[in-house]
Amino acid sequence: MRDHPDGSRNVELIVLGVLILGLGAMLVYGLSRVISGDMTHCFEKKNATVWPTGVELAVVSVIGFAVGRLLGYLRKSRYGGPIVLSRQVDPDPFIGVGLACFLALATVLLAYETFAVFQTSGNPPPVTSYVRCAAADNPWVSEIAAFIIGLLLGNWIWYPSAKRPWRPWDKS
Amino acid sequence: MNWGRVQGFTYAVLLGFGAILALLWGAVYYNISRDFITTISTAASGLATYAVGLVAVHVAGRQLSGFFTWLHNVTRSWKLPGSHDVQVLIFVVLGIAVGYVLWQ
Repeated sequence: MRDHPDGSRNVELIVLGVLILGLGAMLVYGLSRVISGDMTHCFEKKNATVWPTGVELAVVSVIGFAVGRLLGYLRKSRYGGPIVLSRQVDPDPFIGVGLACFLALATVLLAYETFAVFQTSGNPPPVTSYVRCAAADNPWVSEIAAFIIGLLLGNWIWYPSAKRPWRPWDKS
Repeated sequence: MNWGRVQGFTYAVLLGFGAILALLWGAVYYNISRDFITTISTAASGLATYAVGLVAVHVAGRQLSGFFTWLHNVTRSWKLPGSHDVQVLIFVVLGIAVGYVLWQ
């Protein structure tokens, strides 16, 4: 794998930073809406998550996932081999800590979701209820957030294993 | 020895163990409550928590090297058919289908 030229690496970091800041801003906006709203009734807003908003959210997420993959091809065509942390490479400690924090947060949220869906009373509301409310309250912001998350996930876990999309059996 | 593959196999075994536990719990709870939606939602969320939590513990244990290889080798240790790309596509489609059903 070739080294990232400094200029390109900076561009990638800036783009990633902008995307994460954008997600953070949308999260703050969502939290401000949560404070002024009643989350216990989100489960009733089925129309907001099934049709058309629910289907739009699903489609936008899948498109984001595919764009993340295409972005992977662009990066791979510039840098060569797969971005894999081998045992010979000393990983950046900043990335390690960030990844550990991200996974810890995901675990806590999933544990909360498990506890919430187990309560048949609907209180506390599960995370899915917050998504329902977000989709009903502001579909555009929700769809942009879904696209960005899909893009990041597609680029991360579906990074191309071959250089050319039309020849996926090629080895890198 | 291919440690990435060993880790992948270990993760696969631990996940299988968790899936069996979730299944057993679901069978018992459904027999008592007869509430299918709560049973399947709780079991699926609990298994997802366990699966992500295992990775979190592993990463927090500062064993980051080989991490991505480890995830990749999960599918290889199970000897799932098809390429990694096809497997990702199948899991995405399955995830959307299951998520759509659970959210109704």
